[in-house]
Amino acid sequence: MAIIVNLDVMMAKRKMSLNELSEKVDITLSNLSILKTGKAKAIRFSTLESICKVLECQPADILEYRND
Amino acid sequence: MKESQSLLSPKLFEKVCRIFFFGHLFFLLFLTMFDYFDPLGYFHGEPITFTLRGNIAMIPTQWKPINVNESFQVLDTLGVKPIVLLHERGFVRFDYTDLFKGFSRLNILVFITDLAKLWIWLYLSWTLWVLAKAIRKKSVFEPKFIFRLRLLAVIFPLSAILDSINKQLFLKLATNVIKYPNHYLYIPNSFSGWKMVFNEKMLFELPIMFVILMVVQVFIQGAKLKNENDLTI
Repeated sequence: MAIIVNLDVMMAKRKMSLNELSEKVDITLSNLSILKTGKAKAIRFSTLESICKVLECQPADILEYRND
Repeated sequence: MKESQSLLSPKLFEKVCRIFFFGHLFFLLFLTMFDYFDPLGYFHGEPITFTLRGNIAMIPTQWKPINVNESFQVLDTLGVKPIVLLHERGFVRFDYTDLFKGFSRLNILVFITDLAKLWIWLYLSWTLWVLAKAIRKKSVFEPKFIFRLRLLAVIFPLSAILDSINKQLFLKLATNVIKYPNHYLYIPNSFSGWKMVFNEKMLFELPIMFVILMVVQVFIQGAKLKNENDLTI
């Protein structure tokens, strides 16, 4: 997969659990899990904005492009 | 289109489909019980009979199309050469009071194919009900419906094939049981041999199968879109 989701890295840096993040971002735990495991097909700007706001980071900190 | 603008609300539609399914089930149970066995007759002191029914035609052994010029007054002379294919046809019913003889191998095959071509349609009403339920729950584009609709598409020509097999078996049964001097038995309005499959039923049911297969393609695209939508966070 070319786009890598580094959500778990950012969560570890901020010492935030999946439960806590899901509560703060207001998305379900299962959806957040789909995003974290890289199974998601797309991410809404609004979701990305909320995650960046809570984790105090940039979109590039969460998403990364790797040439396979 | 808004939900309120549709002819039937999803809730009402589901209710109608549920009534249709259970009505269909009741009808089939009733038909199976009273068409082949007569339980009411038993309570009136009559022996239990096993009944098989069907249509056959009787054709004279030396039969040929009637010469219209000799026997009929031809009213239309606009280059028409009428040929009249006239032969006797009728309804046959075999009542077996001896159930041991009634359940011979051939009779059971006639019975099973007869039942199969009737009961197979219960899947249609069941699928309609299940789909109506899914429409109400707004989760209609599921992969399981793709399989169910494909199966439904197959049922249409399968029913026609079962009908042909049943007619052929019934003819064999009738030929074993009855004989009429200088006549032979035949299945009315049908081809013989392998061409039996292409009966008048098949003419209607093949296009329906293709329509359902087209709907299946819509469902495949819908399921794909739904999957993408579900995985959009």
